[in-house]
Amino acid sequence: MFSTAQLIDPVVASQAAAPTQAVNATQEPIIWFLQTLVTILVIFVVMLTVQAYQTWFERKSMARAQLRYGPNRTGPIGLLQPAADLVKMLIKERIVPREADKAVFTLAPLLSFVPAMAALVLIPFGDTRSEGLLGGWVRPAIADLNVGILYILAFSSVGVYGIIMAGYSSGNKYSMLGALRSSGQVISYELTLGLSLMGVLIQSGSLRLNDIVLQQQASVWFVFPQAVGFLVFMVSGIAETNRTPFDLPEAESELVAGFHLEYSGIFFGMFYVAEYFSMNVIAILAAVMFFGGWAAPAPFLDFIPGPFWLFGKFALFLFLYYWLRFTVPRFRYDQLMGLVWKVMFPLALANLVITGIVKIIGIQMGWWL
Amino acid sequence: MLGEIAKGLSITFGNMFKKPITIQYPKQMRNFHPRFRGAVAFVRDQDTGKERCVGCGLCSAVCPANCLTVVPGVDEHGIRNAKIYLYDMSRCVFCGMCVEVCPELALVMTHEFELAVSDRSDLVLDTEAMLKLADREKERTGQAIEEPGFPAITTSNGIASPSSFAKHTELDPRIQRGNFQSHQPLLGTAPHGYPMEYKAYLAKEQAGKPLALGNLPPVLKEIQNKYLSDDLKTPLPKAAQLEANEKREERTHLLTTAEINEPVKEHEIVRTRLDPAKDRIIVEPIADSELKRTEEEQKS
Repeated sequence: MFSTAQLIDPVVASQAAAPTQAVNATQEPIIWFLQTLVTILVIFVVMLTVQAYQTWFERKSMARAQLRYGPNRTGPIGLLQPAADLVKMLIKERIVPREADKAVFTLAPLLSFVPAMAALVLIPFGDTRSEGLLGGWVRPAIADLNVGILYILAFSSVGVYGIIMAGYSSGNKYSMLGALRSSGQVISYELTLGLSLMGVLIQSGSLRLNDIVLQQQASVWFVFPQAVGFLVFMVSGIAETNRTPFDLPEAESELVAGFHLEYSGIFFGMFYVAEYFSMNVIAILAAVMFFGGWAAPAPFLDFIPGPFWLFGKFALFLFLYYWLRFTVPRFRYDQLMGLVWKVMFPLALANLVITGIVKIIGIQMGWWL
Repeated sequence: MLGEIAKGLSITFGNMFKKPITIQYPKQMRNFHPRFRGAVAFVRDQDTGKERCVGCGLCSAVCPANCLTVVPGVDEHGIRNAKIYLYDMSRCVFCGMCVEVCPELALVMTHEFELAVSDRSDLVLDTEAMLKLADREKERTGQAIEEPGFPAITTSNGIASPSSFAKHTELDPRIQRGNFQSHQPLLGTAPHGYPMEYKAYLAKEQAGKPLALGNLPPVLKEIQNKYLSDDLKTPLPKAAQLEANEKREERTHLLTTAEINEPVKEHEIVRTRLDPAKDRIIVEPIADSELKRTEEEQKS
């Protein structure tokens, strides 16, 4: 009926050629290495600053939604609050409980923090085929793997080990309960998170994030054909990052603070940053996979650089996260599990099957998808 | 479910464009209700400018928190007043019963509520401090509290009338039963302190012992002693006395306890000269007549 070669989209096949970068890794390895270091530095500094101020924005917007002022003591309209928080976290004592398994207890925040950061490596802030800023010294993405989405999903699921280790090693029943909840929740929602992206992957025919963006630039944002996939992705993403209304591992009203109950000082800070980073990764991923990433919505808007588009879309998704957080109360655990297995999983599966069928029919009929 | 979530989302989004309802307390202040019960103060009498208290001690008797100490006295014009009036704000529960019971309408409740101090004894107010509280209230609100400000005992036209509040016997059912067993004798000369039966109180009174010298807490005792003559002073326990003395020495470094008790001394004007025979300095007082003469010389 059809060959596997037909399944690979001609557009992708043409674009998936090797990136045309100014410095080649094989020819000038030292300069390439230095450029990568500079890129890593710039992207991480930018993302950490964004992370610091998104906490400020979250607290401020949440306060306004609840008719409060929010942080307004540190600097004008509380703008120095992130700095104050950082200083507080750094100078606070790091308490390790006597009952704790000390090695695991110390390792857990790292194991939560590092994968969350590592997932950022793959995000294309602009067209990765281009040279980037400053003659290639700041590249649009740190790396551009051809299995990008697999890498991101893998690292976002490694993060749960940090939570489980934290809960297990704290020697505290609430932490343990939080960790158990978290493992159950993340394993369940991992499934729907992956499945919801399958539709996009079938449609684009590539796992490389940049190719997916290029596909959308050439045709239409994948949110329109993959609306169901997007819905499942957003719900799973919120659950995956343990945010309200799925914040059962922390559940401050029942589990005090859940898995990070015994943590203080910068250890707690690392969990905090990790949560925000994985949230950022999910929000950026939503922008990249469904809303055209760095690509402008229409060709005449191309004069605005890619990173601005990406950050704009990212900000909208962040706001959606916050908005849901200060509106929707927490789900019960059985509701949470019911939602994923009875609603999200069948939806994602149906989406996957239908997308596949339409794709094959489309190729047979000569449609372009 | 989705409809409900959408409704919730619209509410929270709408709220973001409304003004916050938070009152920024140290900068902004909520308006007080007229009957807000803050610290108790003395009304300044319009005629005399002093407190209107006659030292009847009803306030002390009715006080459930046991925070008022009243020792009745007579002023230089022969008018009854409170010789000692101590208001221990650290014990006060701000119930307002003292204000309600006062037959002279001398007490009011101010709107003073920021009562934090760094020394607990600062919370014990005497007559002057209580008058100042009322003055402060006047400054703040622009309204004189020359009439009692407690509307519970004012008539409908806002004028206080002593006849409009309940008789004392109606206030306290214990009194009606006739077996009053409180440490608070009714007769006004309230001994502030720990439970004492009425009989014991009577015995004390008949023995001529000053009642206010009951079992006061040490802080109050110290303050009370300032107002009393030497023979009426409560001897402090030895340890407390030593401690008090030590504290004083700490504060002044150079002065002894005796010097503090008599801060102003008669200073004798002396003349010193060398005795050539015995090779030492002689100190001798100058006669008054000689001093006067030198003064007149200086004037002229």
